[in-house]
Amino acid sequence: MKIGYRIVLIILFLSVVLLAEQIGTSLTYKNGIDAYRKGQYELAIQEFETILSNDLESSEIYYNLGNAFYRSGNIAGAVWAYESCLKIYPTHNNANYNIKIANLNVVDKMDLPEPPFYLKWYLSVKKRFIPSTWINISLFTLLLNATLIGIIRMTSLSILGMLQGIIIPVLLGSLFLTLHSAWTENSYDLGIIYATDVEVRSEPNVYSIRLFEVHEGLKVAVNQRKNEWIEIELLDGKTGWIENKHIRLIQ
Amino acid sequence: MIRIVIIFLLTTLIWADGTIKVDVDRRRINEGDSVLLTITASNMSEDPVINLPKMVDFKVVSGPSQSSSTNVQFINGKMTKKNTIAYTWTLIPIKTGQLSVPALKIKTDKRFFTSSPITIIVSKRGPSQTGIKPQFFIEADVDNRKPYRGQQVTLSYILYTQVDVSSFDDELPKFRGFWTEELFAAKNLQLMEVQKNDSKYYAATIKKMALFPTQSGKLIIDPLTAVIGIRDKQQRWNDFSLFGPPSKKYTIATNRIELNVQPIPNRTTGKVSAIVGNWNIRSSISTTNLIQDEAVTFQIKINGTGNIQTVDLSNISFPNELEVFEPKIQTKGNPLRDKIGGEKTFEWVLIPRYPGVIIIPEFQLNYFDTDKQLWLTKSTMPHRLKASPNEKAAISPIGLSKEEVTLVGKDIRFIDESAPKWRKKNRGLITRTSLTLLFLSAMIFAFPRVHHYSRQRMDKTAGGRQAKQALKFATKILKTGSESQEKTYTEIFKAVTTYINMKTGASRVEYSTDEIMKILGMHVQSDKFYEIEDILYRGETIRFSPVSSKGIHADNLKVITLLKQIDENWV
Repeated sequence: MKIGYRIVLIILFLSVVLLAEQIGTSLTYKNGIDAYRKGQYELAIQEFETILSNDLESSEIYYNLGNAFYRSGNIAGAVWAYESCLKIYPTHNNANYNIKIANLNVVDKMDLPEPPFYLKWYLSVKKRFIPSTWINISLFTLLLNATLIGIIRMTSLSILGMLQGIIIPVLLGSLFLTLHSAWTENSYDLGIIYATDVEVRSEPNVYSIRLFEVHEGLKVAVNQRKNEWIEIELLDGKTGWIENKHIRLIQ
Repeated sequence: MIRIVIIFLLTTLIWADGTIKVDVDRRRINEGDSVLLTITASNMSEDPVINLPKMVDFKVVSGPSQSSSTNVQFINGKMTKKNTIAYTWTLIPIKTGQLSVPALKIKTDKRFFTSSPITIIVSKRGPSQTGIKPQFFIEADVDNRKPYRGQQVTLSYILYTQVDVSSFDDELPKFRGFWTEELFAAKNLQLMEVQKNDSKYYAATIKKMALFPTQSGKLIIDPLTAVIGIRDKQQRWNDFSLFGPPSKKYTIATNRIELNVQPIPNRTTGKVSAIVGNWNIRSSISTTNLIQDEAVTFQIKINGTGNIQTVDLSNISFPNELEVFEPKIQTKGNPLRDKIGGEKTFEWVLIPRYPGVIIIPEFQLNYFDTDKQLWLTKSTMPHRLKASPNEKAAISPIGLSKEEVTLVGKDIRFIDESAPKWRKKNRGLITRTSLTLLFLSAMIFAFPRVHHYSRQRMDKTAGGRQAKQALKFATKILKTGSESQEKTYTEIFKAVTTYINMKTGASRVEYSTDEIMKILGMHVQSDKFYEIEDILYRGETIRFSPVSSKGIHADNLKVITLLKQIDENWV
């Protein structure tokens, strides 16, 4: 009886803690929205960043944080927040629109050759969903296929065999996209240059050769880290080292 | 005379083997003249070590220059040898009045010697000058002693001489607190006769400088020093030199000048700049009708007088519709005028990236006019550009795609006020939905196999399960009960038959008592079942030739008990 009583108390306590945490998060978020509405963008940024520092995220908070950064004139922050929003919700229309506006203010622009149409189509399909959604799509297709196999065994309807002929290529395609998407997600980190002008060096120290310069808001890939330095790679393939204080990684 | 003797004694240090003498060539000079400080060491075994002390009243212009001599004499067959070494410095007084060369500390032959201070009287130059009037001197003068910060001050150096000057070598001071530019430097002295300080001199401008004070307050222009060569007068008819009569070098300096630089007054409108002088501004454009993405040249010209280096327009803003390249800046000075100034041209290449009418606004130049002592603003004219669309432009050269170009000038979309769907950061790729789908897929895949397997298993164990249920079914039949004897014994027979059928897997409708006993004898390892034989025979009798029996209920209960015992011992 005593043990049962204790377990109930612990469950109640944990529930209250979780509830209080949720209420606190909602309140901070509301304060951020109110501050934004009043034009207090720095305060709004502070409130949204507090929630993010508590290990919570959502596409809405990243989107609103991006807007607050943009309004306060922090273009690098805006690009970072919109990129973070699109990472968890790639088809967020407003974030897709706003990031284009924010990128107009980014100094560095990369003109890359247009990929062939099939590659462009494939990449746009892959980009539509995040890796976990691709996993779910693959599993759902697998479920459909399994159901179909079951029905075929029980009924032996020839039309179901034709249907299976469609589902299996879809399943293989979604599996390929899932693997590619997950590999892309885990193979390298992305970050946004967070300082106005950053000198990119050939080695991770200030005495090495200055290779080129990057500016705030530029999206770069992170190849490797060494102490306080990060090796970045630009879209055009250029690589070099910058101090990690000049970059904010996309979570 | 007595004073000179005392000074000589004081400045001459004598000890056992040699002497040290500290002296100057003149003790009464004019402002700008130099004195030679000489230290002479005679009959010393080693060279003296001299550290000049900090001169408060003088500036050391040159030195030390070193000279030595040896004098050998034979008197009455006895030889005497005298070694002399002399060090000379040139000093220029930095003020007028009674000045002092401080005491000098000299080390030689492992001994220290200290001289006495030397007093030199420096007279101010000018009409009220007393004593000997100088034969040559340089004078520095400025055109304005109370300029505004940034206003030009013209500094002139003029040489006055009554003697023949053979050479002239000047050294400019460091103009601290000024931005400077040389206006004139004489290659040859153009001497003109002038009256100066009630005397006749020949004067020549040797240098002119434009000074722009970079700070307000009291600023000092330090003296210029010059080494001037004066040709000696020919003393005798036979003094002939191939290079002309010999000349002697003198070091002279100009007077110090003090400026009181006034700060530029504030402007009520707040439109101020660092530009001082008198300026004009005008703009021009190569064309106003053009095609989108076509370059156009825009020029702003500023001309006037003042420090042209402070004139800057390179950071002005153009409309966003224009791509602006770094300006080309050209400066032309006014070399023939005393007032620094000229024309500065800023030239931009502009490319309209959008079709339509683009207005280049007026640009303002704010400057302080020192003549009028007023802040003034002058502006260019606005220009109206008409850019017709460029149909060929798919992607603009500055890297903006067509889509991006349409976004220029637009604002971001409003914030999302819907309730957020919170999730933990950096969660894994596998979600609860994924696990559910995986489980369902596995279930559906496994279902036909599981179903087949369970069916087979059911079929296999059907007999056993029937046997287990045999007692239950038989008891159920017996418990239904009946009031008639015939029906009761029929039920007993039915129960026993059902029991045996289920236990053996047979499906007979009826057994005889002997057959029942035979089966029980085969499967039951107990004697108890023999008691059932009597009940079955009684039942047969009553069923086929009805006779009265009082023990039907007891038989019914007995069969239930016996079937339980049989079931327990069934093998």
